[in-house]
Amino acid sequence: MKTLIERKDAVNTWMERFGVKFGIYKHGVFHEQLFPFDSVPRVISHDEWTILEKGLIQRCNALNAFLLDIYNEKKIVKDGIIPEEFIYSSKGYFAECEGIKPSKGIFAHIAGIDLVQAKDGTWYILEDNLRIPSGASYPMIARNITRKVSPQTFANNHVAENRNYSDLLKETMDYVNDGRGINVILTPGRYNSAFFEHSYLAEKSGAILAFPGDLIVEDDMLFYKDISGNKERVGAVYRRVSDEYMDPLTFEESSVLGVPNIMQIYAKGNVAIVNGIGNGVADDKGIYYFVPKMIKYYLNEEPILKNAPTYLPYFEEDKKYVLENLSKLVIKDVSEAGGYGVVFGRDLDAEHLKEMYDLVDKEPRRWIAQEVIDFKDLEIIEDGKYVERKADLRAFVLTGKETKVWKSGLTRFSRNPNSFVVNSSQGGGFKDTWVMEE
Amino acid sequence: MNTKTISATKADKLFWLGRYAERTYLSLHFLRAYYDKMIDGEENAYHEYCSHLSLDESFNTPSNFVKSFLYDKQNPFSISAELECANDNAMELREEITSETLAYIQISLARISNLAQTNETNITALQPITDNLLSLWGSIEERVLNDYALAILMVGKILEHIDIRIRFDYPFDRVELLYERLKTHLRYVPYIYNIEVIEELDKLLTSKEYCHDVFYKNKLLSLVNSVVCTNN
Repeated sequence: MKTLIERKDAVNTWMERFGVKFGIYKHGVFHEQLFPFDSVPRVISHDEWTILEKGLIQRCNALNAFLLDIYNEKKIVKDGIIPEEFIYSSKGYFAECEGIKPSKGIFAHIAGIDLVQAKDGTWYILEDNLRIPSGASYPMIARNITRKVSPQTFANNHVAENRNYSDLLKETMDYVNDGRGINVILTPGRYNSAFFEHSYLAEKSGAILAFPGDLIVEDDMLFYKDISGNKERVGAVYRRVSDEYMDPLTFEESSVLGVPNIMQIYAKGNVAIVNGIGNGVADDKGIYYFVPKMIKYYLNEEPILKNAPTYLPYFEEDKKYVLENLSKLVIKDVSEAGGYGVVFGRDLDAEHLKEMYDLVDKEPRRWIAQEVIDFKDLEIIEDGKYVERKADLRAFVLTGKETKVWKSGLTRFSRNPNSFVVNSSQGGGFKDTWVMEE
Repeated sequence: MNTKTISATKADKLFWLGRYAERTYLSLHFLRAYYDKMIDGEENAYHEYCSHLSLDESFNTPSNFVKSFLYDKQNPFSISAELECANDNAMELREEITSETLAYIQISLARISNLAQTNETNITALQPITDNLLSLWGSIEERVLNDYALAILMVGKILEHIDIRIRFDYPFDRVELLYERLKTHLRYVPYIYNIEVIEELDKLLTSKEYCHDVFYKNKLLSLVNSVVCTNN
């Protein structure tokens, strides 16, 4: 480990060599920058991982059951487990997906589940990302580089392989593709913040990287257009385009990023879309509250992993508690993502606390409130010294024939000593995540 | 790759990656040659360089000329600008050309960016970029498994080279050699070129017709730059 840390500069040179960057818009101008990498890995023991793995598989199976149910029979609503307005008022719910049964019944093929570990060692789920969670490519390439830079470190430590993420992705795509045609990754293009990931995963999984305009629907099938005029049928699309932009004839009509009529053939089962359209209803921060109930309802099991203690101001009792304890809670706008719309009550002065109070009071459905979890800090190296920073873990769960958890994950850390926000878009860095084999 | 399919978007990127990578390599070659002339006292040799590229010569000193053609991103003929253009295309082709191939452009960009910060005017400091570009083509031959993609890259590379040789008044046999090589690669990708342009070039690009007359050169350049059309 010491060698790896000493060779930090060599790691960064390799990162630069492979163009490991993410895009960011500052004042409306696009910039690409290196994603700051810290060589000290997060280490998860084999026993700890075994529990996490079971809990994550359980959670994603329940979420998939929920999505299939909610766009079809809606038993969970009929049985009074989740109030229906939580479904229909969710920005991620799309009436256009009603009645859709996607290939093999899977909606959430790739889930990015964000967890934090409290100081007492307990893992808490912070949020589920079931639309287009990004980040797996970074630890994947980081491992490739760190193994080159410090091979002895890996000879001395039995770390589970993580460069197989692309194999898991291919396996998942092949399963839902079901032999219809080729696999493609649909990217909005170079100026998307996660473009590195789109291109790297295409390279490593053997899928074609498709740009807007490359795909066309004809005769109720999806095709990739060749410059020679030939067309090749597409069986599965791993789309990195948001739901709203996927089909201008169904959703945002000004979209030039999607494919006209793709929803029509998706509904007919003629193409698999990874992840499914309409998944946002299940990763809504309001629905998050109900996931433990989903696990009991669909799987008849006790949840293995805990949600962070969460309150829904929608319920009178919770609202009363939230309003009385606003200054010690973290308040989240359910429609925001990427670390935006997150407010720590303790950071607000009296005037802003009053404003927040009024907002929660007037629009209770828009907010959730959580107890602040005192994250376990992780060590990072800054200016040659070890310092401690807040960090989370995004675990990737892939559902194909089986549900599998990738034995690694994206550990993001805050570079600001006073911040809990770890998102790359807000200046955070990342670490490799080592899952130990024994 | 599980298919040999190339979309119009990708064909365009492959073609322009080939052109810009070769343009950067050749620009370095010519800058070195003209820099060498300046060492011997031909301080205004850059006028000749600019004249071949049909550019206005508005540099006060040879040093400003060198700086502009190395680092000024507003100057489309600078090494920095040409590398950026090569990178813009290469970035979108990672799965065709591989990360290892793309790396040669990335490290060249890092190199020029570091040199720009010190305003280094000794062109020999850019030798690693020339080496990287040669490695880029080696890597392309080694790692690009799609024959169509490889042919389009080579078409871009050779067309750029022909363009530059015509501009810099190379003798006919040096241009003809490349033109024959171009046609060999075009046969693999018949859907990206205009046959009528090739027929016209066949008539015009002969030892009898070939000369350094401006009108003739412009006609030839116009045709060379119309051979390929990837926006189908």
